[in-house]
Formats: sequence, C-alpha cells, structure tokens
Amino acid sequence: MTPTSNHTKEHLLIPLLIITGLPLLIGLFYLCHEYLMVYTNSETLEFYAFNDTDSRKKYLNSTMTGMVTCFVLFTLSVLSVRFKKSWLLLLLSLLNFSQLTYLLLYH
Amino acid sequence: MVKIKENNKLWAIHSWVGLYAGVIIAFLSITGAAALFRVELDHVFNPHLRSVTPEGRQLAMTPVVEKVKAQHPDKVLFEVELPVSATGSWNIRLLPKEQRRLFPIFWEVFVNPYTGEILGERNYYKSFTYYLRNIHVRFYEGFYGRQIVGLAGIALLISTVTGLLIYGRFMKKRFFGTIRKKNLRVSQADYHKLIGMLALVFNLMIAITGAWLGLQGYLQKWLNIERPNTFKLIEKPYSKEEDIALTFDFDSIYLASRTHFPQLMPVIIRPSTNGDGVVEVIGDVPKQVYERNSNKIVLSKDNYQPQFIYNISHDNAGAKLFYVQESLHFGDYGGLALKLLYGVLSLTSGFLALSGFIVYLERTRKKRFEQPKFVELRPLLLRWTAGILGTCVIIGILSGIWGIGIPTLVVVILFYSFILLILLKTVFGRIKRRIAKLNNQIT
Repeated sequence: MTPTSNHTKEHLLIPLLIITGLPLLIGLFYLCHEYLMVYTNSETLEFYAFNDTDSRKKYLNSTMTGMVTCFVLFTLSVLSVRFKKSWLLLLLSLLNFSQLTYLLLYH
Repeated sequence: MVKIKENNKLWAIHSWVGLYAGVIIAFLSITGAAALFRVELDHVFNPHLRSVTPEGRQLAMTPVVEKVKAQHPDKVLFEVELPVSATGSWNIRLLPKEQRRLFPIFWEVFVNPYTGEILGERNYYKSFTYYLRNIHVRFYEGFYGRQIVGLAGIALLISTVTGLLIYGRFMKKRFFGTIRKKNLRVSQADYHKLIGMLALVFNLMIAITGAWLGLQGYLQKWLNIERPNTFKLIEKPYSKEEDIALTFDFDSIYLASRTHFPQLMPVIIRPSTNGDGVVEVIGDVPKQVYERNSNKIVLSKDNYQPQFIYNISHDNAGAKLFYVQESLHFGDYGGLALKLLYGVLSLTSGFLALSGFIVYLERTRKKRFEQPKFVELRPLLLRWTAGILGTCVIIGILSGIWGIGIPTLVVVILFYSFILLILLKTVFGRIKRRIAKLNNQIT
C-alpha cells in the first residue's frame, strides 16, 4: 500500500470516530435499559413516580428519541469518515461530548 | 527536529510507565472485569441465600429483625438490605460489639421475607463477593492499597494520553487497523495500537475515575470536600447507648420514606448508633446514572418525620460530578448488557499491558540474550501469568478461610518485603557497578 493524502486523513478520522462512537454506544445501552425498564412494567416502575399514563408515555418517547439521536449521530459520524468530511466529524464529536456532559451534570 | 525530540520523550514516558506499572494495570484489568459482576456472581453462587419464592404478602420486618438481634446478643444491628425484586431475601447485617483486629466480622443473616425463615448466615468478609471487591479496590493491602490503585489509575492515564500523542508517528503510512504479520514484535505492536485506539475513551474514563476513587480519601481531605449527602447533627440528642437502645418500627420507616421521597428505591435501612436518633433510608432514584445507594432520606426514630432528604438530581454540578465517578467506573447504570460491554472493554488495558510488555521484550531481546539470566519470552510470560493468577487464588483461599485479616497481613508482609528487596538490590547493584568502575580506572 502506498501512502496517499487519504491515508493520513483516515488515520486521523477513524480514531476520532471511535472516540465519538464509544460514548454513543454506552449512551445507547443506557437508554435501551431505561426504555425496557419502563416499557415492560418492571418492579421498579412504581419508583419512577409517573403521575399518569401520559407522563409514562412521554418518558418512553423521550428515551426513544434519545436512542434515535444516538443512532443518527453515529450514522452521520460513519458517513463523515466515508466521505472524508473532517469538519462534520469534529462538529459531531463536539456536539456529542457537550450533550453527554450536559446530561451527566445537569440532568 | 523539535517535534521528533518531543515524540521521543513521549515514547520514552509511554514505555517506562507501561513497563513499571504494566503488571499492576494488568492485575487491575483482570480483577476489575471480575469485580463488575460481584453482585450477580453472589446470586449465582448463593441462590439458597439470595433467592426466595414469593408466597403472598411479605411479613412485617420489625419482629424478624428483633428475632435476629435476639439470636446475636454479642452483635449490634448495622443495617437491613432490602431486595430489589420480589424474589430476593432480606439481608440483616450486624457488627460485633467488640471487633477482633485480625479476625473482623461483618455478619449477614439472610431471611425469607414471606415466611421469616432464616436462609443462612455468613461473615461478609469471607464471601467471594467481598474478595472480588477488595482485591480490585485495594488488593488486600491494608494501609495504602486504595492509594496504590489510584496511582495505577494515574499511570494508565499517562500511558493512554502519551499513547494517543505518539500514535500518529507510528501510523502515518498505514491504514487504520492494519496488522502486519512480519514478526511477533511487529504484529503485537499493531494489535497494541489498534486495541489502544479502540478502547481509548473507555481507558481514559477508567483511568480518571479510578485515580479519583483510589485517591479520594486524601483528595477530599486536601481539597476540603465533604460527601454531598452527609447528614450531621451538631448537638446529639442522645448518648450512643441510648441511640442504640431506641426502638422503632422498620415498616413505618419504610412507608415514611415512600411518602416523603416517592422516587427513592429503598435499598438500605440503617439506624444511627452515634447519638443522632435517626434512621437513614438509602437507595437509588430511577433514571439516574450516579453512584448506587447515594440518595437518601433521614427520618427521626421518634416520630418518623424527615430530617434530611438528599436527591442527587437536585444538587449542583459539583455533587453530580462527585457521584458520577463510581458509576462510570463500574458501569452499573445500564443493566447487564452494559456491564458485559464494560467487562470486555476493561480487559483491553490488561491486553495493552501484555502486548506492550511483549514488544519491549522482543525489542530488547538481543541485549537481554547477552545476559546470563536470559529467559525466553514464553516461559517469562507464563511465569508472570502464573504469578498474577497464583496470587489471586492464594489470597482468595486465605480470604475464604480467615476473612480479611490474615490475607491482608500476608499481602502487607510480602508486598513490602518485595519492595525492600528491589530497593536493596538496586542500591547494592549501583554500589557494585561503581566499585567495578573505580577498579577499572585504577588499573
């Protein structure tokens, strides 16, 4: 294999994709877990203290939105590597980490 | 030119940190992966203690606790752990009135909440679950074990950051993930880079949270940080003896906690013994990713009125940062699937230590070959692996027989003797070399 400018870009982009992807994967696992806990009426459901079925549905919808967001962010990240758009990957990484920090510290 | 020099420095730091802290990082990686599942393993190994068949309504808790207390007049009630599901047992925990230093006891009595039958009793310090936690958190070193683990966290952090900074230098001319099969050194170096990059974020997270958790005791003291959920009374309304003798109804306490803090999933009911005259109900709040058993409500033993309610979600960002460390480190906020992901990822730091060690040994093979004590790679690795696993097994057996005291004593003696031996060997080696040099100069 001969080195080209694409190799250099790939060498930078794929690690950045992995750095962004793993927190997204962990976030996805957490959201799936939350969704299943509420959706399957688990024993801990009473502690969620939902006022009515509407607030329960709202929570289910928000976790589903979170899961879809994680998936979309990950897909966009992969596409940004595929089409060598480093600015897009950087933007997604920043968005992802600021969102995670917000969720961890201000949620 | 300056960049190359900087890279060489970083590479030297990466190598030295890996070489000196690699064994501890590998040890912590293996024990950490096992410690993640300590609760699940306790349920698997002790179903007779942990699992019950639901039969109608649960009994009142107070008479059962009183019965257990009466059976153990030499002990004081510490807390009651409630099950998280309908098929779990009550775990009534007691502490001896007089603790023996070398053979401490943390007594657990498991009770069927539907029949009141005592399912079994044990000293927690002799349990496998305690062994898994303690060998990872302080590897049975009684004095500074936790801090040594914290320093290993810093070593992992330095190693990961320097690894990332020098990564580009080794990858410029290759596709990401290329594994060359030229020889053992090259293939291991490629795997080292690939796995290191794949688990980079995870290892950074484990390193930072591990360093904080290990050094937490000292850092909290130096930075004057108190646990955000601490409840303190300046004037104690009772003496210690009066507080212990105060009676209260466990079920009323449970119900009061549900009324005043409906989101709290009570896990532990712990009466005070220091004169505060209160009962703490500790547990988790759904949706939170923070440390387990850190939300709480403190109720008066007299009238069951709340004295203090602590919900991490209502505290500031600093408190949240404080409580996110342990959960991020142990991955217990996303069910078993997340724990399995953590388990796989946690083994990567062990692999990185091992592959880095192999690369070092192969790189220095020629130089080592000239030495009289030269050992081939395979027996050397087998020796280290047997050493790590053997240590774990021996400590495990000692812990199972005698609890925490004896294995701690053995580890302390062996660990500090080993360090002393290394220090003496280094000092005498240097003196010997200096004498030889002087002799050469004279002749």
